[in-house]
Parts: sequence; C-alpha cells; structure tokens
Amino acid sequence: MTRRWLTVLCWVLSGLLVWAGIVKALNPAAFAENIMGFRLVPWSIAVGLALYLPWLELMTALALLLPRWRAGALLITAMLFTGFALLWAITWGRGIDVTCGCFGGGGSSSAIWSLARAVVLAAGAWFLWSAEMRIREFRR
Amino acid sequence: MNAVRIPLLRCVAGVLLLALVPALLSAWLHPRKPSWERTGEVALSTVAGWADVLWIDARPATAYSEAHVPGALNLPSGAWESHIETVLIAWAPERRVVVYCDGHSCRASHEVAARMRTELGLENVHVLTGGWDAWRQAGREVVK
Repeated sequence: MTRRWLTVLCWVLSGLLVWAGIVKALNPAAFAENIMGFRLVPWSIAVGLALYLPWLELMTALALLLPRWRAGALLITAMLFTGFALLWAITWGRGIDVTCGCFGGGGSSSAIWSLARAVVLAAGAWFLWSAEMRIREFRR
Repeated sequence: MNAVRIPLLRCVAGVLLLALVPALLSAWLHPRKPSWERTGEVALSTVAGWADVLWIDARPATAYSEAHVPGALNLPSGAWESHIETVLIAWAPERRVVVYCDGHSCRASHEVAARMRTELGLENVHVLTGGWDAWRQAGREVVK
C-alpha cells in the first residue's frame, strides 16, 4: 500500500470516528443507557465509559490526521474496534436485544449485523496499522 | 524495532490522556451528563415487598396489549396527554408508582417517571430495573 492510499484511508477512518464520537459526546446520558443495555457493567462504569469513550474516539480521529501520531492512533482504533467486536460477540451469544448507539440515531440494528460491522472495521484498522508500521520501518 | 515501539506507545498514551481532559470537563459541565447515582431505580425483589403499587407500562400500546404486568396502566411517553387522566384517577398519595419499559436499554420508563415527578409533582415514582424483561425472567404472572 502506498503512503498516499494509507493517508486517504486514515482520513476515512477519522471521519467515521468523528461521526461516532460526536453523536455520543452530545448526549452522554443516553449513551450510558445504551451501555447498560449490554448488561456487562454496573451503572458507575457505564457513566465513566459514556463520558470517556466519545472523546477518545474524537481525539483518535484527530490524531489519525497527524502523520507523527498516526501509528498510535491506528493502534487505538484497532483495539477499540476489536473490543467492540468482542462485545458484540458476547451480546450475540447471550441473545440480548440491545440498542447499539454506536453511530447515534437509536441504532436498532441486530447484534449479528453490529458484530459483522465491528469485525470488518477491526480487520481494516489492524491492516492499516500494519501498513503504517511497515512504512515507518522502511523509512528508517 | 525498539526505536519504533517507544514513540508508538508514547502516542497511544498521549491520545488516551488527551481524551481524559474533555471527558472530565463533560463530567463537570455537560448539560446532558449522566448522574453517577442511578436515581429512582428499584429492583423487582424490592417492589415485591411493597404493599400497594401502581404499575405504569411505558411501552407502546401494541406491546402493552400483547401482555403486561397485572393491573398495569399503559402510559407511553408519546401518548401522555391521552392516557394521563386514567393514571391520575388510579393514583393515590399512599400508592408507590413503578414505571417499566422493555428492558435495560429502553429509556421510556425514565422519561415517563421524570415527567410524573416534574409535571405532576409526584414523589413516590420509581423505575423498575430491567423493566418488562426482568418481570418475565422472574416468571411473574402476566396479563394478556
């Protein structure tokens, strides 16, 4: 993959994270309720995640646009999406009907669809991270 | 390889820490910040010990007509005006009000409970933790 393509794909990923981050940062109370729907964490943890995760997504999106920060941002993005994929796999396995809240708008998509989306995004982010690392190694 | 790893970890730590700043500001200043205490929620096991409960079903009328808690009155948040009179007739100062919706992820019960507290000035209004899902999973009686 060329550096130019990597840059373009990082911009796309950044846009996705900005979208996901903004809708959640605008209403952390609603996002905390969404997190509770997964029945994995107590309310206080859900509140902490609802306040922190949207800003982590927005800061990561910003870092993806800065070449020096890109590798770290890609690593965070890949880990975030992997975490979401694991979460959706558990949710699907437990047969829980839950509102996603991932990209706002109520997100009434099914767990299997959300899992598939998270797996694709995680695979894409890991691929971009490995490409970025290869380019960095090559330049040294 | 070490030369690559150190700045990489520094970048990761930097982004993680930078995100903490607006997150803390949100926790302090955001108009829609969630409360650290989940106020007004009550577990089914607690409600079981209450003598006189006015059950409010905040789900849509279609879900209510399929099955609901015995004695529950339907009060969907979107049909407040047309249903509130029935609720007020059934309400009495000594009765505790428990509102429920589908489950953990729905917000209708919180919305209806909040309106009952703020618009009607009722004090003994609670939200059932886990909502209708919790009721069914406990194997309680339902009315169809």
